Amino acid sequence: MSKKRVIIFGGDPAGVAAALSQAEAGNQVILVEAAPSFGGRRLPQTRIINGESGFSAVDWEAVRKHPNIRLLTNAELLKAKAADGSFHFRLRQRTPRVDPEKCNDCKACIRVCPIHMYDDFNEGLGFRTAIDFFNPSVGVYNIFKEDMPICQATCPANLDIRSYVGLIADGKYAESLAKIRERLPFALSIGRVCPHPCEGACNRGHVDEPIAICALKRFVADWEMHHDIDPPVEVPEQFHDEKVAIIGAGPAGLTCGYFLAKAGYRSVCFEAMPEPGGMFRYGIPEYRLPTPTLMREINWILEHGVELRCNTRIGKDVTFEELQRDYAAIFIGVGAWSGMKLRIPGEDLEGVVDGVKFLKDANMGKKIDARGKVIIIGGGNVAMDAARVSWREGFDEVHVLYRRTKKEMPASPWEIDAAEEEGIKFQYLVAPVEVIGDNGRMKALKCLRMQLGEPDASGRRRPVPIEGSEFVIEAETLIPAIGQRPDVAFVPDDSGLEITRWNTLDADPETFMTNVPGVFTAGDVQTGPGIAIAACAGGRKAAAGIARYIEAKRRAAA
Amino acid sequence: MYEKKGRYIVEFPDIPSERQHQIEIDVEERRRNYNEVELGFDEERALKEARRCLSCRRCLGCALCWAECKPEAIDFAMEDDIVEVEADMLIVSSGVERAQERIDDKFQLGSNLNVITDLQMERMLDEDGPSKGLVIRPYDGEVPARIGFVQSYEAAASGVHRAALCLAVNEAILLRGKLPEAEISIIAGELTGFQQEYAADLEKLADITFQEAAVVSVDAGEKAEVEVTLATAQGEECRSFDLLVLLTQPQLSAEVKKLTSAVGLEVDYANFFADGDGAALLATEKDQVQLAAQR
Repeated sequence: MSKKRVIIFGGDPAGVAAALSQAEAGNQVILVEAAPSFGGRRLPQTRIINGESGFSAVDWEAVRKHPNIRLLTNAELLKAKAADGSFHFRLRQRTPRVDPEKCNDCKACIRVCPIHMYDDFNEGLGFRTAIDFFNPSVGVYNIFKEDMPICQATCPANLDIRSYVGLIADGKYAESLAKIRERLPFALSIGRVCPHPCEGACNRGHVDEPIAICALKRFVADWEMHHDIDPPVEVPEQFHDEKVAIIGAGPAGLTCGYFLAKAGYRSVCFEAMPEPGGMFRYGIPEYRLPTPTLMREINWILEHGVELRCNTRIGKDVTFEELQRDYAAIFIGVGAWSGMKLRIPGEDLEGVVDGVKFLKDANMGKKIDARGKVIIIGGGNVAMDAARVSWREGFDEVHVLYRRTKKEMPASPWEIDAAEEEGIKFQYLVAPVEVIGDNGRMKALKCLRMQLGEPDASGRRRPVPIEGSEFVIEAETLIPAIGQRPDVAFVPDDSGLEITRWNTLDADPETFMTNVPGVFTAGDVQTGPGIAIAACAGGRKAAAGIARYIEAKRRAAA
Repeated sequence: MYEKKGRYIVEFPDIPSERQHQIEIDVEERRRNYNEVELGFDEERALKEARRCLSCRRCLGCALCWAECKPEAIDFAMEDDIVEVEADMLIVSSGVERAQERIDDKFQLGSNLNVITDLQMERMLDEDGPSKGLVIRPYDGEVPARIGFVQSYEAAASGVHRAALCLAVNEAILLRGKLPEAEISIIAGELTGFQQEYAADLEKLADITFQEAAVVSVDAGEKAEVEVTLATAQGEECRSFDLLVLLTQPQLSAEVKKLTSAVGLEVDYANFFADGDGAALLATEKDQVQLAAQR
């Protein structure tokens, strides 16, 4: 038998026993374990113990001293590849921050450590310190330090929530706001519209209820606004010569401009709509984010050295090639504005208006023909916004139709509750099949009842139609809100920009550069429709990528 | 005076436990206009809310240990390593993963200190464990006289269910060794098959009672005992325990799932069980991948 290279994942007794027997057979063994040291002693699960002590103990000394075994503790798998009969693994080994060669197991560090944390080795019975030996039978010391608290790790923009909430508790509101603005210029707006995934992760939720992180962010931003304090504009003394073109003055584009200014680069922001703000301005209804509030924030961002050109459509008022010629880099943050089609007959009748377009018209103050009944199709936050806007516009009845049940609805629960409070009627397990018209105008919608079947790829149970359950709802207006796609028609065919099958632009996850050098992208146009804070996070990271790109080019030219 | 909650979690009177809510305008004020609905926090509410934050962290980098360490073994600047390894053969050991978040709230795990999981019981029985092998109630450190093991999952594949029951029986045997006088019961929805299969082993355990029943609800009694309402074939029955141990369903960790799917293998937890005293390594459909049997 020839010598093999064996890799074993799992340092529990079974994995360790396998490691020893493989090593004894002369194979080279790598033993990988996710915990800081090897799993503890275990009771058997497939047989009943018989007059023995019960616990399977492992001969650690033998494992540690065996010349054929290499131990990788505290390791997580990053990538696995199987090719030509062998495996290739990339692992991250988290540092213990304690040198095992020098440590003499005197426990002095444990005695002074002020942190009492959940004892994960003992299944949460009691506490342990942040530095300890994790498993007493092995005794390898390590310091347990997470990169960031769970709220911060969950936030797409990784805001330092712990610090800014703590500063509020100390009454230091200006410092708290400054802490937010280190990573996000939109405290006022995000504090109003964010679905706050951080609160879902908040550890206080295990004790009673999560911290109202989002409302606290809003509080400090409001505090500044209500006290008429001018927000500080801090930019470098000297700007660089290079300028950056930004396409789209939405959450991603404006955040990118803000952080470019912080890095010393002026930018010009081209916006096709008459006013800046993107989805903040035209997608989020006024009752959630009033325009004056948003404009206060945008004007402050522009003061940093971002020039705004509204009513300027790329490909019509100015060409993409001109931007490539005149600017050192281009950032594309045009969002995802094209509503998905229902793909049912009669969809092009008058009275059928897509959710995003409907919200845009309402936000622009256009007259909306709010007669009779309106039906909204969809279960996301855009559908909730469209329903609550319709109700405000004065429709007699507002109905939301959703294919699955309330439990599967992707919209934020508080938005659904608010819509119900406002008297919006929900019908679950219903799907539209045909828009019925009369003289080119919609007058009714034919629907099918559904039932939930097997779970699909997203883990949600797939709705299947019930035979012969057709029924008709009379309504003059239909608003499909079942998803969006970016509209990238402005990109010239010969630009070489690759467009994915979702109509999005691909970008490098580190630099946010597309396949065309000097062209960067982030936000909904890169990720598909997402939440605003994620677009802001992308804009910030892209700004860093752009700054690095320009500096590298400058060095190459020197 | 504050109520004793056990385990260091003291409710300070100046820190509210309830989450503060934003002020909202009435529904009547919202029709046919776009007035802002939520009005945010006033200062008082914001301060109350911000004080609720637990400032979660692990190591703070306070460097007390670093100052204390005589051999100077502690180095905060040490960095993570990215390791690239090659292998001709892969052996996967599933370890023990039992998700607590899947346990229904009715079992009061987390809210009632005297309800623990089978893995916590395993740690408690271990000489290396948090109580050095003593079995005590977490609530007050008393030695429990009545211990009940109950099934906390709805249903599981037969091999997985058998593994959960084996663990419970093994824990009961060790418990009996430590507490000769205690009353020990194992309660699960489906026991007959298991009792037949392990009849020879279970014969010697005459003082551990088995009962086929499902838990309806769990309540805390006057003296911190755990009151369990059971649904049996004969109707509902109430039983009282000093310590309730939940049988949990073993499952694959996310890490193992990621690994096996990366090498194109579909496995579930039951794949890791060896029959009787079967081989230590189990073959898979891929020649170069084996599973380390859980015993």
